[in-house]
Amino acid sequence: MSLTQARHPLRHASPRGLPTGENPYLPVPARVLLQSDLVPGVRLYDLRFVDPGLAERFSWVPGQFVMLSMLGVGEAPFSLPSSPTRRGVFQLAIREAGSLTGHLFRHVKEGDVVGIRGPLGNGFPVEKFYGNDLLLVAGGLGMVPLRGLLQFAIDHRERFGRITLLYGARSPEQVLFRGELTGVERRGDAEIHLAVERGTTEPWGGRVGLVTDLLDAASIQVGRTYAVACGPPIFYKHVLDRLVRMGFSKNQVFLSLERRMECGVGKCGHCSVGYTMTCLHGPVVSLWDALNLPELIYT
Amino acid sequence: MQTLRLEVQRLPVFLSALRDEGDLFAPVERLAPKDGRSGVYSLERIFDVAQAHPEALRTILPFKKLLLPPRTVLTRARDGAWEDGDELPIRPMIFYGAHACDVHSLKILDLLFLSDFADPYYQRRREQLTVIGYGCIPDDKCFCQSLGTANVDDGFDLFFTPLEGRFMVTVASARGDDLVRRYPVGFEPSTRDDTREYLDRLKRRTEAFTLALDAHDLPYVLELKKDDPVWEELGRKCLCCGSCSMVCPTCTCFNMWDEMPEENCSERLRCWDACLYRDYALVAGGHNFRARRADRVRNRYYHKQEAFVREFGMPSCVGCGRCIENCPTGIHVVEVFQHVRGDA
Amino acid sequence: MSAPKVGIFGLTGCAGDQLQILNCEDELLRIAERVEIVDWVMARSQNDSNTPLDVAFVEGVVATERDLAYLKSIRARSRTLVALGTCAVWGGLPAMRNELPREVLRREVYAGGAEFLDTREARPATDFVPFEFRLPGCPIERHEFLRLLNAILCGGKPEFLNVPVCWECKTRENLCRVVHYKEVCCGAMTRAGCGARCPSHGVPCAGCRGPVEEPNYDANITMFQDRGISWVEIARKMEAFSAPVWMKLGLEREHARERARGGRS
Repeated sequence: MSLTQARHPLRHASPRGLPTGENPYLPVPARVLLQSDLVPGVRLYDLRFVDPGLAERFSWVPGQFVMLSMLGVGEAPFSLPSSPTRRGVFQLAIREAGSLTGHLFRHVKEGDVVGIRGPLGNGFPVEKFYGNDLLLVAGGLGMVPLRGLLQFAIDHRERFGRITLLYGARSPEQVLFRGELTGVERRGDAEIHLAVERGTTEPWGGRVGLVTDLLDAASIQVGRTYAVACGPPIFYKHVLDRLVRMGFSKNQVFLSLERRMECGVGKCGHCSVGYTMTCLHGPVVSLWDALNLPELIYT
Repeated sequence: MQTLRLEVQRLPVFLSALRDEGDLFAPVERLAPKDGRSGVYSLERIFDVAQAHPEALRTILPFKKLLLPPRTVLTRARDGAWEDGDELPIRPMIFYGAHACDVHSLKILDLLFLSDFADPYYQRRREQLTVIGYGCIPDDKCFCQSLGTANVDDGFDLFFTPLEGRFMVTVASARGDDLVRRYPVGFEPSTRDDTREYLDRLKRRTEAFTLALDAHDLPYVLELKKDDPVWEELGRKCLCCGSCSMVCPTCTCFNMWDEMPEENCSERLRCWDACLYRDYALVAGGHNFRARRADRVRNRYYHKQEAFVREFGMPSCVGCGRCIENCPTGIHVVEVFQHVRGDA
Repeated sequence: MSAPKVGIFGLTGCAGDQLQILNCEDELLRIAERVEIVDWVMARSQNDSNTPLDVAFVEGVVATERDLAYLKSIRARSRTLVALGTCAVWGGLPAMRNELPREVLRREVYAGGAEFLDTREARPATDFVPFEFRLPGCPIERHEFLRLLNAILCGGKPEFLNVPVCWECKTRENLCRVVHYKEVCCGAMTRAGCGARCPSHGVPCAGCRGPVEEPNYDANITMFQDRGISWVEIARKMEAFSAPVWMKLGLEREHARERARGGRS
């Protein structure tokens, strides 16, 4: 048996390092320029690498993620919510969910330095989308990676047909990037439809209901559209099925998987689902590939 | 590939000389408190070549422990800057007593750790490793023959196969060739007699296998047997102690976490992990993608015999029998697959 | 910013965990510079028992009403509370004989004249008040204590792995106490972190660090029984340390099974 046998097409025979360094495990310092609360419990961080050369060079594909390190606390993956068309500074939108994010929220201030390595993962197959309509379906925090794709598509507006974003959140207070999305719609760059599960005291102009209701209402030309869905497991359970029933082919629909990650470079094994390493071959997979994984993506 | 011969009594001279080339590692018998002999071996650095038991079929831990130590400091951070945690240079290592399955497992580790994002910690150690094989005769836990890993013709530096009063020496790399020329302790070109006896030995060895696993179509069978009750049964029997993964020559899962050994200094550690452990697929926020024991057990077998085949075209099991020897509840990998097929 | 105020306390127990802190000889002076230890009866003659504390460490079980009141007062004055050692986390040895009535124990141990004892069923401190961190071990591991302390002082929250002792035992290449010696070893159901100290010294794991989450008790029992070990022997070993948890999860069920079979329980 030799080393040159059949291997997964996404495995690269010739090894490479990361843009942040040859040693893919070594975090590189990046400074927190700005931090702001997007909604209660979710913060947007503007970061810039301390090394000015790297800061300018660092690029990514929407849907990719980075590993964020804090001294003595550890490391966790976060998807990039901004577009590489707006380089120099990159953003992270982070929800407080565990000990690392808790530490980040409580102790990291503007001007502080954190460690970053990446970008990791495959990202959305944006070139495949060129010349087609784009349907983005987001649920909750799934808006984070889709915001990067939306920014990218708007910055290359001529490469895409109609762009529609359907976004469902728990309540009006939980809608991420709300002002920005309103601006996008006003400028006519994309159609934006929002739904919240329950209204509150706040006046809410959008729909009260589920994101699937938005799918019913939207006018989509399935034949010329790529759909990209991001959300929690329960969201996938309802949305993906609906997209298929609308007539989408399973390789016209893409989604982003969530798994535990330690190394981010296909070594540690934690994110493997069958032969797919979420960090290496994903996190973005077609619906067809997702359905053929040996484990369910939602239960 | 080139073959030589060496008289049996000249080998210790050669091995002793090799200690100048780096740290010499070989299987050594573990001492048992009562009668002294345990019949259990571990791979240790040796100073006296008489300690070496190259014929020992399996050490408790395979030689992955040299390339991926159970605990490695990946990075060290002070004052907001991260540095490589390895103490360089890595000392040259010579592993004496590799069997064919060990060499095949080395190839599998290379596939994982040198493709895509090359792992610098692995690579540094790998570059310092010299592999010297030793011909073995299987016992009742060896099933490498079923997995195509019973023989090997590359991936090592030198290979000593015992014949009557002498060794057939296979040279499979320039490094091996360097060593043979640097220490001319009596290496001679092999003769036709040597070749004949060598082939006879191979034949005897082939016939010595008593354990077999029909692996040729396992990925397809497994694909259809995801819901087989055998996985639930195994989930009830398995302790999830992770012993099988620790001793497996191709199990390489690891965990990473930060420790602060002193104030303002943080070390990122990499330690062995096992997919059988409960929190293996647990994400922040509390969702566990493999919360059930049966799912974790199944995942381990699928990874070896299904997922890895799809990724690399071969299973990641080399048939060394370590998991059989070390499972405290007697889970037997070959029986598991026979059961899944419906043969048992 | 002034140094964080720290208190170290013992409820009912052997004080072995506090002793482990004193055993951190190389680090102790530096620790004393970084924190202000205001209340530690074991190591100071003059203590301040009222000041609010940034971090408090509590070892031992609640075995008297006095323990409980003391624990509640410590909780009330502490921002971060750490359960120190197996007694505080799991109940440990003091909780081993909870099935015997207090009255019987009092009579057996003290005969007469111990009416002043306000004893109650021994339970881990963690059963009564919320704790921010739990550090098991009988006694605690010094390196884990230091790691936790360093992390708390820099605002972090260290993770301790939820994996069994076999994890460390295998990497130390010990001869398995079950496979090679046919002994009752609690390693597969016990939380790692000790470096598999006991098996590395040739004795089986006693389970002193308490159970991993969801241990497969049934499979452990079967494993020992398959090696000809009696149920009594298995129970004696497994009862010792993680008794409260194990009583609930395993022993009661097994006793019920025995009773149903009409056997001795």
